[in-house]
Amino acid sequence: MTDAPRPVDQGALIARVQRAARARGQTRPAADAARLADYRARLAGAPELVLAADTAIELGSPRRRSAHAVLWTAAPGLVVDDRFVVVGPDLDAAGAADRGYAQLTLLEVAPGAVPDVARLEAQQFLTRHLPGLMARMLPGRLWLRASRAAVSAGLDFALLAAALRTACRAVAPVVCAVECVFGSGADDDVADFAALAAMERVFGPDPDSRAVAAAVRSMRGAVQSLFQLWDAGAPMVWYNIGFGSDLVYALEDVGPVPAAMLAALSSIAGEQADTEAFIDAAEAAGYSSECCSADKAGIGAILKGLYPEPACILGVNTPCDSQVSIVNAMAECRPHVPCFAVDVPPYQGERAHRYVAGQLRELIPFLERHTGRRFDWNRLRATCERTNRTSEHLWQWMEWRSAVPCMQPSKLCAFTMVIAIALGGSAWGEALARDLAADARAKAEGGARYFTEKVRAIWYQDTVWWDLQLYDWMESELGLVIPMDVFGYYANEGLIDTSSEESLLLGLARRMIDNHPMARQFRSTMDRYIGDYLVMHERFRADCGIFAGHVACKHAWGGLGLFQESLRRAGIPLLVFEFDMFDPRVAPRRELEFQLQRFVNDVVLPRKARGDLRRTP
Amino acid sequence: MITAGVDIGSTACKVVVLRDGAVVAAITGPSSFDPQRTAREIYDRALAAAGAAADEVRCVVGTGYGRARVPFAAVNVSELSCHARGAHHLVPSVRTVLDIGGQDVKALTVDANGNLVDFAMNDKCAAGTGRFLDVMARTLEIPVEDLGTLHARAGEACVIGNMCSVFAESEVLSLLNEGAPLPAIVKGLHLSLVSRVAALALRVGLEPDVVLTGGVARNAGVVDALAGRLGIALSRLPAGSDPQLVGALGAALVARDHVGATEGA
Ligand SMILES: Nc1ncnc2c1ncn2[C@@H]1O[C@H](COP(=O)(O)OP(=O)(O)O)[C@@H](O)[C@H]1O
Ligand code: SF4
Repeated sequence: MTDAPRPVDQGALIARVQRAARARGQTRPAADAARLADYRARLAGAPELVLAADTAIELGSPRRRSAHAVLWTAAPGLVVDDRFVVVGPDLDAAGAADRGYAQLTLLEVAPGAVPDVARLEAQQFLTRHLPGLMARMLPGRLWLRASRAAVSAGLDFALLAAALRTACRAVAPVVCAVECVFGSGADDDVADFAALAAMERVFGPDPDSRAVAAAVRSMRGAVQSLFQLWDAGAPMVWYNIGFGSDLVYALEDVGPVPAAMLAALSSIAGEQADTEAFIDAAEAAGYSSECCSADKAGIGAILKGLYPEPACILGVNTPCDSQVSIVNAMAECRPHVPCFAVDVPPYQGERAHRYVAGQLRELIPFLERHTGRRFDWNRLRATCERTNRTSEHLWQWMEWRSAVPCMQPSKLCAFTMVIAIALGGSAWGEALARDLAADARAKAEGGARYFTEKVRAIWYQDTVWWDLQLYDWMESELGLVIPMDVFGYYANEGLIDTSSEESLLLGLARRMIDNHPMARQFRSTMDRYIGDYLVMHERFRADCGIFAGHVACKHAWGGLGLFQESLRRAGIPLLVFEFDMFDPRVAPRRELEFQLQRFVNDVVLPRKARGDLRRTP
Repeated sequence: MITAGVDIGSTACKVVVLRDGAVVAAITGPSSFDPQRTAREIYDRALAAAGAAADEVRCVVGTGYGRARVPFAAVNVSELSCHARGAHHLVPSVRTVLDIGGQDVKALTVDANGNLVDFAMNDKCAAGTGRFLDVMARTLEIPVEDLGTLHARAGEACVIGNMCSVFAESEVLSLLNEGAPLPAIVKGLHLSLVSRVAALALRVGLEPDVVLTGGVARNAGVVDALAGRLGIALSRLPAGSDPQLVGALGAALVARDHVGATEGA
């Protein structure tokens, strides 16, 4: 959870949680005040610490799934006060259970009131005010232990609901109704609530967003179809993030597995703690800590055996040294699986495109041989046509996003990267691109606004994947919006000429070298890197730039001085900060907030007020 | 009209009191783990020195690292803007301000009106900050106030390759063991420090006039080393002004502007 203020009503998400919970669980009244007082009196003086030996019930321990969230709305009547829904056994019936745990607290607040969400979130962990129940908080995790004495004194979810209700009302008088949802069932049930709690993280202040819903739907769809293929015993192809998925989607019934997939999935919609555990596992196994966290997390997931076994491995030596490392790591972890490495040459232009296209031609019989699937040029053509349609939707989308003010959440920019690496050439990618554009258009035409835009910045480089809500905070606290990021903007520059076999391969090679996120930026000259920025600055009528310096992108840090100098000469303020895109332990959110706040409030806004910024007329 | 600026830095707390735009009191004291109390104490001392009663002060602006902890400040302004304002007030032709404080170092560019245009800073490690010299002075068992005089006595400087205070400390210890003269070591330390500061200055584009502020600017050895490293003369502050107080001065000036703006409105 984060401490970000969420000034916008989460009614739509609450309704979704209620639907999911009520369909599967039982709705019951919370305990009344007399029962709560009686329980407290009976257990008065019980030790706060519940040791393993005294534990009757353990919920949401690090061995299990866990999820929690506090959601609020001002819509009257949606939240049913004094009620709770439980999916799974009650505390008394669970026996000596060790189970997953989900706890979602739904609140109605007085009309017009904005609750102190951070204080309310803290109440989730104060359930220890219920004697005999110990709550512990780890990042993204709520872990409860109930003592034997508590269970024999009648501890149940009705009492917990009553305690939470009292605590929330006590700290926030604007709260007028409290409904709780508890999940204590199978890990799968809890996982569904985890997804809903994560959705709260992804949706943030725009819960009705068709675009965010599409992103969640597309990612889920792609993962589900991967699972289906896996269950059906279909061949899987592992690849590093320098590759696009298009060529793999061109083979029927072959599962594309980008090695960094679990880093992205667990950070966006799962548990960030998992991403960090993957990173630690890779480092503990001796992989260099200097590698990109996307790749370290990928290696960690491989080491933990979380990916379906590959029929073959594809590697490409772009965009950076880290890609070479992960290709080596994949080959090392699966020494008997055939690996095909594409070499992208250091030079640019047509000659480079032909050189790579030649290797892609050789790759086709390799894929046929090791996946056992026949390659079909018509299928590749259809895939590339889909990739082209995806690009066209994204162009439309960018048109709408270039409007001032920007009406869609900044964090959506991140998903173009997901499309390019994991969903390119798939129906999921096309649907997501279409919905991004449709949502932007609907918002622009309908005038939907949920923050006041004060400053527009071009985000240069990596997304803060471990907390997409940072972007919501930027909008609500600073009025800072990111209309577009560099990776997304150039990912779809060119269309693939689908007229012949040769043109298809050349088109794919060109995308891989010149457009693919990171490859375009990090394997070409600083002139292009700087020129690309200036084009975007004009196109999106930006006020300033943000160089989000992922620690592992050494090649970008190397050219930073030139970039800074050019922007300074152009009169464009640039914020430079260091962080890790998948690992908040390098620079936590508070640090990023501090840097962003100082830059916007001390430099950009005063300069903008004085008319001292380069702006397109 | 009386206004005041309170600059709670990581190392020192500075207060400047202005009466009709002229400095009537300026007090510096060490920061503590209780910034709120430190600010109060030094502010009270400054008011006593100015011969002013608390209710005569029209506006107090808090700045610096601990600015949020100055309960009696009406307004909080970042140290970046205050240093720019203070330096511009003292040297109106200033375009670049280099501020070397106790735990951070900043390079600021300002426009002709003293507005902040851009900045770069290092607040992540001790390299290039006063802390670096504080640690070294302790190792050398000399007060920081003597560093400037020792620097002036040195001929050749010792080479100190490390900018990190942890590694530089062990270099200094080996130099001492080898019998290197103290002034040469001190000069070497200053050269090491300014190489970091110069890199930061170049990041914002070193436009003259350049003014050095912050407590470390009181060390004449650092001023000399930095001018040599940048290859330009640094602008001198007017006689009698203390570079360590520039941020507090800027805050007091912002306080005066604030009163003007609210009364004008
Ligand atoms: N006379 C002096 N000679 C050398 N260094 C000094 C002198 N006076 C103060 N300093 C140094 O200045 C630093 C404090 O500077 P200051 O600008 O007040 O920092 P901050 O605002 O971060 O607290 C300390 O490292 C201190 O050692
Ligand atoms: S984010 Fe940087 S380090 Fe990581 S894969 Fe991309 S280019 Fe390489």
